[in-house]
Amino acid sequence: MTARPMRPRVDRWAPVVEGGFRLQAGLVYAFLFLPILVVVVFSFNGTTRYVTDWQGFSLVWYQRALADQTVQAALRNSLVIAFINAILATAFGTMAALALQRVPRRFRIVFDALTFVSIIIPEIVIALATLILFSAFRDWANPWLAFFAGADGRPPKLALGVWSTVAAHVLFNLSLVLLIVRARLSGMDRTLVDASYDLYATPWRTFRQITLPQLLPAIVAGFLLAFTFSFDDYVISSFVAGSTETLPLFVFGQIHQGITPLTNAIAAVMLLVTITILLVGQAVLTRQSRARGERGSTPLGMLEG
Amino acid sequence: MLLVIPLAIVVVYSFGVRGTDGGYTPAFVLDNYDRLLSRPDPFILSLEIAISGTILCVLVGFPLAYFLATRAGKRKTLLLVLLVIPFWTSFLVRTIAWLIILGPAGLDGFLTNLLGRDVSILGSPWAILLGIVYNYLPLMVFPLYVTLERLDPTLLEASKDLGAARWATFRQITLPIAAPGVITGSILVFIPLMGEYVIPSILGLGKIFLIGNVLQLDFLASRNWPAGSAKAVVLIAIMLISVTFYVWTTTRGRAGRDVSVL
Amino acid sequence: MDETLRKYQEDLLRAQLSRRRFMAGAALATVSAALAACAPTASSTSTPTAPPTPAPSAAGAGASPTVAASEAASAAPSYALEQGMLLYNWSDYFSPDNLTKFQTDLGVTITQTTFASNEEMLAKLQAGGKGQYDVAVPTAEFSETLAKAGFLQKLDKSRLPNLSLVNERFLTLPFDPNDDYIVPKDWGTTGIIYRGNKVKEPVASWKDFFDLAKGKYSGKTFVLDSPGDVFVAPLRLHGFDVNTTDHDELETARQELMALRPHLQSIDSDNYPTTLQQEEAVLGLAWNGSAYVLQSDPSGKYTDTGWTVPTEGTIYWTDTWVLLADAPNPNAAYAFLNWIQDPAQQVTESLYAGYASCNDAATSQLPKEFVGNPAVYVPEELLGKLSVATDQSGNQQRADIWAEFKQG
Repeated sequence: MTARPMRPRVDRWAPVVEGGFRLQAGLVYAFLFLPILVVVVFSFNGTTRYVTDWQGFSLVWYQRALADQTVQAALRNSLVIAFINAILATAFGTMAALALQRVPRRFRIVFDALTFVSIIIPEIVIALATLILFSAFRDWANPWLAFFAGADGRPPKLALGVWSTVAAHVLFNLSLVLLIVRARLSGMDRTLVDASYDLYATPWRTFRQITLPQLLPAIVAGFLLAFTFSFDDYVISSFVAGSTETLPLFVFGQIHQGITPLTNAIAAVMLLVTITILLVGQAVLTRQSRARGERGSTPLGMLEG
Repeated sequence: MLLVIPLAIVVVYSFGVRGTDGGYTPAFVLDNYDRLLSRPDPFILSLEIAISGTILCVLVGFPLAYFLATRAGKRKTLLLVLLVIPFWTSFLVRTIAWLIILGPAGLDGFLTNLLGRDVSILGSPWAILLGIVYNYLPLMVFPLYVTLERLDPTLLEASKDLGAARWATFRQITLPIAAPGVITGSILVFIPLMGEYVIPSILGLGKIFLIGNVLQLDFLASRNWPAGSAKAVVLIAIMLISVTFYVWTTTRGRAGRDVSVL
Repeated sequence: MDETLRKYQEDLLRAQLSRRRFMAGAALATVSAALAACAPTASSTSTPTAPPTPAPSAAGAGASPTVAASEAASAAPSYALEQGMLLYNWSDYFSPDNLTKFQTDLGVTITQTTFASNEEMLAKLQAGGKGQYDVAVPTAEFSETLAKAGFLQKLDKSRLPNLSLVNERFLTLPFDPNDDYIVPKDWGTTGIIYRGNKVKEPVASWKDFFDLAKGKYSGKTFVLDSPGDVFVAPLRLHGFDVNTTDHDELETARQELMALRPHLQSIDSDNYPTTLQQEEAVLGLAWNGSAYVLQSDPSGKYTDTGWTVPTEGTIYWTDTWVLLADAPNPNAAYAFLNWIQDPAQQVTESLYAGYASCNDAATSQLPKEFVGNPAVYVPEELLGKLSVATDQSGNQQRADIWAEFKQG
């Protein structure tokens, strides 16, 4: 090997390659959003029934969507369930993640394996298993409730509905939040926590002022995700929701009778809701983090590593 | 635990015989496996589609992931989120939208007029592959993105300074680093793909018959649980093998790193 | 960087999970339903003190009867109506007008939940046990399965006087010879649908169907994704019984089906009205209701839709109301089952769903054009050609043929 310095090659292809990348990316995004566009566009179709039969621009389907009692109830239920579920899943998931930090490595591996298995297992199996569980519990618990409520003859009767759906979703989203928070935890700067303890802060104080702010993005991200997943869930809901209708259940039911622009309008509304939530979440966090002077702590900002 | 029991039951059932009204009667016969082996078509077709779908996802996803990881700069976050937003609509609604886009009102109609003869993408494996790439792309892009993000640009610079051609750089530096991402993404696409039946059913116009469809028929329509169980067992076996393979390859080169995909 | 990892994980999981819902784990799921086969028995036996018998009671608030230890309350059964009723139905298969009317007439609020297939309904009942709903709407032959599994209550006919209005054709059906369980909802046929503006040839028989499908309309024909319906065509073409299990007859059917297969545009039960509307297919084997719906579409564009009950004969089927075991609101349910057979309600239902009523009194009250429309009511001369299909899902040969047919 000689010591002759080598001249760097003139990279004639650079602009082409760069352009190529941009083009490809652009195409992919166009590809991804094309159906969404179609869905939204056709939701304005003034047709009587068939989505592809364009009969003029109209808001009639949105009107119908908003006027339909079932749709409203479904939308309401979905929002409520998703929200409660997100709060519970996030709370429990975070606690579980923190608890797992202190647990010996062996258990953690077992836990990891279990989480892995729960991903492999099809959602529908989880749905059925949960339903069985709930039904058995309900049948066991109700008579006891009756017994205790006794005299006035109208005890609360556990039945499938909003709460069973929330519970089922929480069970599922819990592991989701768990993973997210754990990932964040493992990347966290431990020295700050140690410093905090060295300065005689109580565990609660440490948590509140050191750990929590650092975890916040993961917690918020977990919350958003749990919400989204619950809002859009079909399989689990179809089994444990009892007589409560959620939006995805309604949409899937429509499929069987034929697609009308009603489903498009509903899907567009769903999209609007989820995007709004994300933007709001992002805005809130940006403001918070700006106040705190940290740049990268929004869930989105975090992606820049 | 609740999840392990059904698996055990499936295995047991696969050796049984269909009850008179459907369901299961205890038996220990290999009939179901026998019949399965004499008609392997759905398995083969599913494998073909799953593999091609996975490869397509890699081909489409890799440049995008590379772009995002190395070129996107400030817009990185926005673009990543944009990648995910379409999945906040109902899966079924998105797939139906493809029916419109590919159908007579859309691409099929356009091509038919253009070429003068009846073109039908819908109902062909191509439509299904398209639907697959569409729905599974993020699953491929994200693992790739994560690994490519660790790509140290100085390595690339060094390689260039040493006079390496672009392709050589890619092959010797980028690819090895990206390899775990490719593997992860592939497995995560391949496994669910093997069981997919909605996309083939809708975009294949009911004419493409994959393992998922078969299982649906067996369990729901003919209620022949033993037969379905046998096929399910084989399917699970295939998946377990691929997962084991994945775990083996990824942990091989990662001794000491606590970072698992999970 | 760990942020990216995390974000990737979360999105990955999220995307994965939404894929999951369609995995063929429907298989494993229904196996869990097998597990659940233990559950219903568990749920009905594990009640310690006061079993939740639907004891008639002064209807308390809420949709459920009280789990009162007072079985003694049923000294003289007063069928006081509960305030609500839980209906488990196909999507869009119950007139909203009737729903409101039931509320006005009898003060009972119906809460409706939907399912997309008989099998889904069964799986849910199996997994969740009895007591989830009051009334359900299975297809007739499926009611037999439900009855055998113990999910239905025998009907106390003394509480259903309106049953006498039902045409005898829909009573004593093979799956319920004593009419213990079902109250007919409506009925229809499986036949040939076509777009008249494109198909000018006569379409009067299964033979016509097969010839046209393989000939001029190759690539423009569809069939339902339903073996119980599709088998009718080749079997009746050769004059065989639709419920045959004869090996050779089924083999002939197989050959016909496989000869037809390459010419099909789609095999689909859900989307075909749109397919017909777009004229992607102009000929098909379908259910009659969709013909009526297309014909009567307010846009007026599809009045050319034609419907044929083939001359070789075909099947007719009924959808039925059934009373589920351990129904939480039995009195309301009985009231409903009787009320819905009232001619006025039947008329509303028929006009809403586009299917013929099983109830003679109602039929006489329906508009002439409706009753005269062959897409709704089968013409007199062809009534004799209709047969009832029994549940053949257990027949291995049929299952194999169907799998082969789907495969292509």
